Amino acid sequence: MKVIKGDCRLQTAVDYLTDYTGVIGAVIADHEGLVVVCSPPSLMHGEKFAALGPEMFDIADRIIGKIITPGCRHISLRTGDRWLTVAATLNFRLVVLADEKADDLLNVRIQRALEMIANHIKEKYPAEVYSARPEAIKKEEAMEASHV
Amino acid sequence: MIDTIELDDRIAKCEKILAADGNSQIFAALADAYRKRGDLPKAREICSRGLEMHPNYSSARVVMAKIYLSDGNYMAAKQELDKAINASGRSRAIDILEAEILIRLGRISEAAVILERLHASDPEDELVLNLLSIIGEEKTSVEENIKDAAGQAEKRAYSLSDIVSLIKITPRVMGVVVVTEDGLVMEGRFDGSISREETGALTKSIFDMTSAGGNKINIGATKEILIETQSSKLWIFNKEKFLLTIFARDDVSMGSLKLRIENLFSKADISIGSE
Repeated sequence: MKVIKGDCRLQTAVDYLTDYTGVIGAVIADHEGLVVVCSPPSLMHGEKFAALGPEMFDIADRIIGKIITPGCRHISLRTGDRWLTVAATLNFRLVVLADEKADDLLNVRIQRALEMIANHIKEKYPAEVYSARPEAIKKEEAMEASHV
Repeated sequence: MIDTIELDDRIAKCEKILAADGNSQIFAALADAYRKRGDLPKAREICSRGLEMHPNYSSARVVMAKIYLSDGNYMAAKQELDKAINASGRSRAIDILEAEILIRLGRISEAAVILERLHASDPEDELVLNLLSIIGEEKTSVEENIKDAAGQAEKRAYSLSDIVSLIKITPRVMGVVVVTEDGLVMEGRFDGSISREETGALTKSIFDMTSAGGNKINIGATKEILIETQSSKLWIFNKEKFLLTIFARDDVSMGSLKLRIENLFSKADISIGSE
């Protein structure tokens, strides 16, 4: 787990989500799929959510990007009794897991939490922390090209 | 109105060009001239032969659609027009032709939506006014049509095709597509240049890959997926035998859309999905 020490405002953002009825847990993951903060801290499989939520988001973004640009900013998946939301802000992903007790107003909280995260990251960290790193993208493209 | 002499002259010129170059795309103009002269069998024969060599020539597909329309074969006309749209997108002329075909097919509400849009962009267009008068739509709004269509449909069980049409005419819905487990498109209604096949394939990929992610974190079988972009929403519903995908503008009313879907499926024909 990649905990940013003293980053209580990010923790506040995820706690704000888990305060809501029906929310089981919320995780902020970085672009590598690692946990930045999670709520509750005892959340089962928090690292799994951090890894797989952004992966699902990126897959949907890549596919939908073929017909719509810019691509995905929010994906939500509902099962019989679970509701998983993955949303992007800057270079981070917010993953929220809720059960059937949560209602659609949770989306308002998610939006608010995303704003809190974005404001905090922009204030506290230099742009290269939260924007896509050109050298990383180039490397990724070169790797893709070598596989074609 | 083009007179017979002019048509004969055009036919002679086109035939001369076609005789010199059997591969020429002039066959479409020739077939259209025969159609206008009323010789539908000849028009169909020329156009079919030409389309065998030029299957993606959308103008010829449009001519073929007009031939079928004149012949009273409205389903075939619609299919040809869909192929033309898939090959090279829409134009005002294609929209008008589609509206006419939809009227003949009895799909009045869909035709009304197209005609209202065309009328708004050019209130003087006589072709559009004529078609509007046929369906008695000059004074009624699209919303009233939707209500009418919904009212009529409520009296009977919905087929999958009805459901797709009724969802499609919801304000701000740009497309609806139904995809089988194999990724084949069963039904689809779309505005714009996005093809239903393309959306069908993307729907299947997104659903499979995203659901696989959900399975890894043990949250159960996926019932629906909503993807939001800056300008639009893609909503995929797992209906067991098929996936229903709705492509809408960002400002669509999600609540009313969801209610409409639930309402329609609650009255669906039980044979749905095996069509």
